Amino acid sequence: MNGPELQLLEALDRASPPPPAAPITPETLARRARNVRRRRVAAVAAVLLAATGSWFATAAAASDARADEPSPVARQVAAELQTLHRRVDALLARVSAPTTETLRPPRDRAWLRYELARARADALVALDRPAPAAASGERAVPTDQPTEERIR
Amino acid sequence: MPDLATFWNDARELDEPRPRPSTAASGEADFHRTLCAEAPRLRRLVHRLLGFTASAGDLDDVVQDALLAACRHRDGFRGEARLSTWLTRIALRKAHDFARRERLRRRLFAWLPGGRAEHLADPPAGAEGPDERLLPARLALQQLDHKDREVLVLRYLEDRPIVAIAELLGCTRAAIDARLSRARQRLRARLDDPGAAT
Repeated sequence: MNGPELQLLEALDRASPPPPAAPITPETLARRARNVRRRRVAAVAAVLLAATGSWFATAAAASDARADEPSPVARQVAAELQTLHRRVDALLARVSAPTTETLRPPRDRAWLRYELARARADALVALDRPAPAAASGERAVPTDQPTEERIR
Repeated sequence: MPDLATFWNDARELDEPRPRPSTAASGEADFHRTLCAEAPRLRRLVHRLLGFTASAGDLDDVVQDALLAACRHRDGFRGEARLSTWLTRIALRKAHDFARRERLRRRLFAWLPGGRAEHLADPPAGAEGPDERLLPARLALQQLDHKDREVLVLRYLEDRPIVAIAELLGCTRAAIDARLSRARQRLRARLDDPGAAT
């Protein structure tokens, strides 16, 4: 090498071998892939849980603000979202348990995002529909009663 | 309503992989073995690219990330270049990402109260005490921009021809020549005046 800076560089390279490492095997890679996927799924699931949780709060507030009972569709939406919530919770538990999976392309993040967007869109559309009781001319439950009594 | 059955099926796949045809599985196992055989070479390259300061854990992280990326994007390898070239390109990108994250982390530590502003002269974990004569060179190399270090390492330590470096970095030969020349100038300047860059 020409030039003192390059000679120093070469001397530095000779004097600084990389620290010793355990050999990398296909099992090492599979384990790392699993950990990476777990971290990613856990992060997405946490966001999903927070988002559905905040949706429940919004839906409950919207329901309280109305003069009538929550429509059956809105109840169904809430029930479905609760199921989704439970399943994501279960998913978190599953991804933190030891598994024997091998390397596969990750596709969970995009899918969860897509499902979340669909769930929220469907739920919002359902909530905007008029309640069937009010639409058919039946008497609505008085609004001065607490929400729990109205639902009961 | 959302298709919860599909959701659940997809979630189940996270810990219950689908069985694969045996030929595909054996091809994949061969591919993984080939990748693992490249690991020591990539580790050496990453060690040089990071200025000889990365700890064993950091080196493992970068190399394993590179190998995992190769597994994920195996379909993207079209066979136009050699597998080792393709892997080197991925490792260069991962090392670059790591260097950028480290830079950000250092800035954050410097900004936090009581944080350490710089730990450029820290020896890698488990390393022997470096030769006193080489300390200025090491410091100068670490102070260089990652892109400068990259071309210096590829050209003078990995001994790769300019054409090969141009192919690896996706630049023209002229661009690599110019980068090399600038990198050498900066390295020389830092060796002459170590305090100038800090």
